[in-house]
Amino acid sequence: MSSSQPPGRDDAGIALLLVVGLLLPPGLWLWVDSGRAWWLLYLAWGLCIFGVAALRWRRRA
Amino acid sequence: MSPALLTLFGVGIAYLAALFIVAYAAEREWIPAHWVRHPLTYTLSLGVYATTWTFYGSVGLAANQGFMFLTIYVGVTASFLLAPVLLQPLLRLVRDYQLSSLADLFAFRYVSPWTGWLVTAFMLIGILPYIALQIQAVVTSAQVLTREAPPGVLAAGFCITVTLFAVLFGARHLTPREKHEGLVMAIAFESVIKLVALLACAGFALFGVFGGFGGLSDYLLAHPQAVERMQAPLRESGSWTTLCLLAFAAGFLLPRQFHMIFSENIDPAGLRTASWAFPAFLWLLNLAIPILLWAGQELHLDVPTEYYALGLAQRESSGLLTLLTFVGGISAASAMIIVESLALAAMCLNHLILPLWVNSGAAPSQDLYRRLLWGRRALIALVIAIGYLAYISMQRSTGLVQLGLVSFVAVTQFLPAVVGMLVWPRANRVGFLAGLCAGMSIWFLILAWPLLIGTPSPLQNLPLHERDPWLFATFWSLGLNLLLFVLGSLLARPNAKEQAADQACRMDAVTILSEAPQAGGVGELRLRIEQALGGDVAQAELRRALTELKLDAGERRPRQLHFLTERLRRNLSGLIGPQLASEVLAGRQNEQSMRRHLVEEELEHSQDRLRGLAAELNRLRRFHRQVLQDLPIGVCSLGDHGEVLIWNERMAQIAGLSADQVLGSRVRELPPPWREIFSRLLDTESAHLYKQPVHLRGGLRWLNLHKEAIAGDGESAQLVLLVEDLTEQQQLEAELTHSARLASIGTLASGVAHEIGNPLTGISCIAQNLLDEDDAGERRQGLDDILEQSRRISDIVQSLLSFARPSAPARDLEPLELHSLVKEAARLVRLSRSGRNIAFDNRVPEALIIDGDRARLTQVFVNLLGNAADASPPNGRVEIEASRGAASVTISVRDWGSGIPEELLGRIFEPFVTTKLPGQGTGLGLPLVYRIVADHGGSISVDSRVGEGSTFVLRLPLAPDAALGILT
Repeated sequence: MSSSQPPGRDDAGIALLLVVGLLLPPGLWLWVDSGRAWWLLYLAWGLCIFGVAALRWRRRA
Repeated sequence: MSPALLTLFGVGIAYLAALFIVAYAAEREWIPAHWVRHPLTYTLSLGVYATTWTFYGSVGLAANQGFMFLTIYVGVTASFLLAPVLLQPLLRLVRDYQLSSLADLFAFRYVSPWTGWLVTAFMLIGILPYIALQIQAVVTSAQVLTREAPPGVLAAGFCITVTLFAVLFGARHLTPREKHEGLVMAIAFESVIKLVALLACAGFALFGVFGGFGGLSDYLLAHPQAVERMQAPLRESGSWTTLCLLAFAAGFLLPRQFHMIFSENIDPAGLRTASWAFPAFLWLLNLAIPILLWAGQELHLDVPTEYYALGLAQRESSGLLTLLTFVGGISAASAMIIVESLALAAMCLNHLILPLWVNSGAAPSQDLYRRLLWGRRALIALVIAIGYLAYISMQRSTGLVQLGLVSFVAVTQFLPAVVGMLVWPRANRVGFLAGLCAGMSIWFLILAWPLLIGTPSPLQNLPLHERDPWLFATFWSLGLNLLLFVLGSLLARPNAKEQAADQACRMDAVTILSEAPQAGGVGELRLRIEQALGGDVAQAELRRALTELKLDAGERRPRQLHFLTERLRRNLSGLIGPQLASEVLAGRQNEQSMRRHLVEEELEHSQDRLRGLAAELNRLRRFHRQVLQDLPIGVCSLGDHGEVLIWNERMAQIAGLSADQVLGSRVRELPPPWREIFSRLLDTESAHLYKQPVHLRGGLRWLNLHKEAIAGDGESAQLVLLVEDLTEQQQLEAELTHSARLASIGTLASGVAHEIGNPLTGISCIAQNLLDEDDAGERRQGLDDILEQSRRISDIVQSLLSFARPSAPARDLEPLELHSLVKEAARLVRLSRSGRNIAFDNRVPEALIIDGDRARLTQVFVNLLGNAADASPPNGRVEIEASRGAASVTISVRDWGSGIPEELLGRIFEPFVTTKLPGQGTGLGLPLVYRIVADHGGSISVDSRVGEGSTFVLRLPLAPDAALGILT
C-alpha cells in the first residue's frame, strides 16, 4: 500500500520546520541573544522564505 | 483650513483619483490583462494586510517592544508557507462552491441558521475598531505634518472618497461571483506605493541621517543599547509566540485578507507564487522599521514615535518625500478600508439582510440582481460610516497597535473552526457555535469592554492577568473557545448536510456531491427559485447552469438533474450565500443509491487529490470499471428504481446510444426498441432470452439477453443485464450451412453427371429410333419415353437447385411434410457414388407435419443419410422411421454399417471430428446437423456400436396445428 505524501504536503512540512526551527523559541535565541547583530533575525526570517521559495520552484520545475 | 492642510487634502484627493484611474484602466484593459492577472499582481494585492499599523504603528511598537513588532509578519509568513495544507484547500472550497466570504465558508461547513449571522456580527464588532484606527492614522498624519488639528471634514472627506472607490470598483458587477480586476490592480498599486514610500524613507534615514551603512554601524556601536532594546523583549517576554499565533490567524481570517486571497483570486497558481512572494514583500517592508526608529531617535524627532517616518520625511528639503510618505499612509489606510468594507458588506447582505427578506415571505423582486448590487453598495457605505462613527467616539489615546491587536484576537476565535473543518469530521455546528460564542464573549469582556466602556475589564483578575495582556486575552478566549468547540462537537453529531460538507472540506477526502435535493424536472427547479427570488433570476440562473452543463430545458434524467441542482446551488451560493441557496433549492432528499453511484463521478474528478489507501482503492475501482467497459458483451446495470447506472462501450455500440444519452434514465424512458426489449426481459421469469430478433439501424440483429440480480449490503437487489449480439455469428452459420450444402452438391457431382447422363442416353437412343419409325403407336410410345426421361432430368436438376438455394436470413418456417422431406433427401443422396446402391427405407408416416426451414432440414437429412450410406456396405439398407409424441416428432435414421468407435461417440457432434479418412470428410456435417436441429428447438442423439451400425435419433417440435390436432 502506497502512502507517500504529495509534494505539496512535503513542502508544507519542511516550511513549518523551517519557521519553527529558526523563528520560534528556542531557535529564536540564536538570533537575538545579547551581542548578536540586529540583522540576524531578518536573515533567519529571510532564510525561511528563501528556503520555501526554492522548494516551490524546484517542485514546479 | 490652512494652506498646508489644503495641500495635503489636495494631495490625498489626487492620489485617490490616481487610484480610480488605475482601477479603471485595468477594467478597460488599458493595462495589459497579463499584467493584471500576473501572480505578482495578486501577491501585491495581498499587501492590503499592511495597514497604517505597518506604515506608522510598527515604529512605535519597535520603540516600546523591540523586535516584537516582527511577530505580526512572521506569523503571516508561517500561514503562507503552509499554503499547500491550509490556504489551497480553502481556495479550492471557495472556488468550487462559490463562497464569497468567511461567513459563507462557515455557513457551508457548519450548517445552522445561526452560523452566518453570528460570524457576520462578530466580524463587524471585531473589525470596526480596526477601520476606525485607519481613519485616525490618516487624520493624525495630517496633524503631524501641519502641526494643527485638522477639521472633521478631512476624515469625512477621506471616508467619502474611499466609499466612492469601494462602490465603483468593488461592487461593480451585478453578481458578486464576478472578479474585480480593477480592484485587485488598485490594491496592488497601493502596496507598491507603501513599499516605495517606506523604503524611500528608510533610504533617506540610512544615507541622509547616518551617511550610509558604515554610519549606521558606527551609530549602533556607539549605542549598543539601541540593538539591545530591540532584542531584549524577545528574550524576556513570552508574547512572541502569542503574537505570532494571532498574526498567523489574521493572515487569512481577517475579512480583507480572505477577500483578496480567496474571493478575488483569478488563478489558483497565483497562490502558489504568493506563498513565498507575499512573505518576501512583508520582509522588504519591515527592513525599514529599525532604521526609521534609530534615525528618529538619533534626530530626537518631536513627533510621536509612530510617526517617525513623517518626521524624517519632513527633513528632506524638497518636500517630495513628505508627500510620498503621506501618500503611503493614505495608501495603507484606504486599501484596508476599501477591502474590509467590501468583505463585511458581502457578509451582511448574505447573512443578515437576505435571510430576513427571503423568510419574511415578501414577494420576489422583479430585478433581484440590481437590488442585490445596490444593496451591497449601500452596505459598503454603511460599514464605512459606522467605522467613521467609531472613530469619532473612540478613545483617542488608544494606540494603532493596540486597536489592531484587539481585532487580531477577535478573528483568531475562528481559527479552531477553520482547522476543524479541514481535518476533523466530527466538528459540527454545536461545537462551532458554542466555542465561538464563548471566545467572543471573553474577547469582549477582556479587550473591547475597556475600549468602549472606559473601565477595566470585569475579568481582569483571572490567572495570568499579570503576564502579557495579549497572552492573557488570547489564552482565555481561545482556550475556552477550543474547549467548547471540542466538547460541543463530541456531544453532538454532525447532521447529513454537515457530513456532506465535511467530506468536501477535508484535505484527505475527495470532493463529493452534496445532498442535492431531488427534482422532478427543470420546471420544478425553476419554480423553487422563482418562488424565492423571482422569475428573472430563475430564468437567468437556469440558463447559466444548463449552458455550463450542456443540458437542455427538457432534461429529465435523474442523474443529470442532480448535477443541475448541485450547479444551481453553487451558483446561487455565489449570489446569496450557501445557507440561502440551500433553502431556496430545498426539496425531496436524494435517494442513497443515486448519491452513492454519483460518487464515481466525483472520484474521477478528484482523483488527483486522493492519497494513500484511497488512491489505491480508486485505482482498483478504475481497473474494474475499465474491465466492464472493455467487455465484448453489452452490460447494462439498473439501480433500485430501474435507472441505468452502467452502460458500457459494447452496449453503446449495439444500441447505437452513448452512455450520456441513457445514464440515469429508467427503462421505460429508454428509446425504442430498448424500452420494449428490456421490459420484456425484466418481465419474463427466465433469466435468459435467446435469439431475439431486433430491428436496429435499418437492419435485423439477433440478440441473446441475460439478467442477473446483484444483492449488496442488505439493500434491495439491483440488476445487471447482458446483451450478446449474435448477428454475425448467425451470418457465419448461414454461410457455413450454405457452404456445406454446396460441398454436398460437389460430392454429388459425379453422381449427378451419371444420373443425368442415363436419361440423356435414353433420350438420344429413343430419338434415334424415332427417325426410322413409321408406326404411329411406336412413335407415340417413344415420345412418351422421351418425356419421361426429360421429367427425370428435370426432377434431378430441380432438387439440386432447391438444395443449393441459400437460406433466407430470416427464419422462414413453413409447415413441412416430413415424409416428403426424407424422400427428397434420399433422392439427393442416391445421386452420390456411395448412396447409389443403398436402399433407403422411408417409413415416415405421410401425415407428420413439422414447422421448419425446408432447405436446412433437407441438409440435415442429406447429411445423416449420406453418413449412413458411407458407413453401410454395398447394397446396404438405411431405415428412416418417425413417430409422433405429444408435441414433438421423433425421427430415427438407422444403418447397419461400421458404427462409431466409443471414444468418438461423445464428441461426434464436435467440429472436425470424423470417422472417415482424410479427404473423405471434413467433420463439419454433424455439427451443422446439431446446430440446425437446435435452432428448430429440437435435439439429436446417437446410439452406435462398432460393427453393428448407428442410429441417429432426432426430436423436432410438431407444427402447432398438428399439435392442436392431437388435442382436439
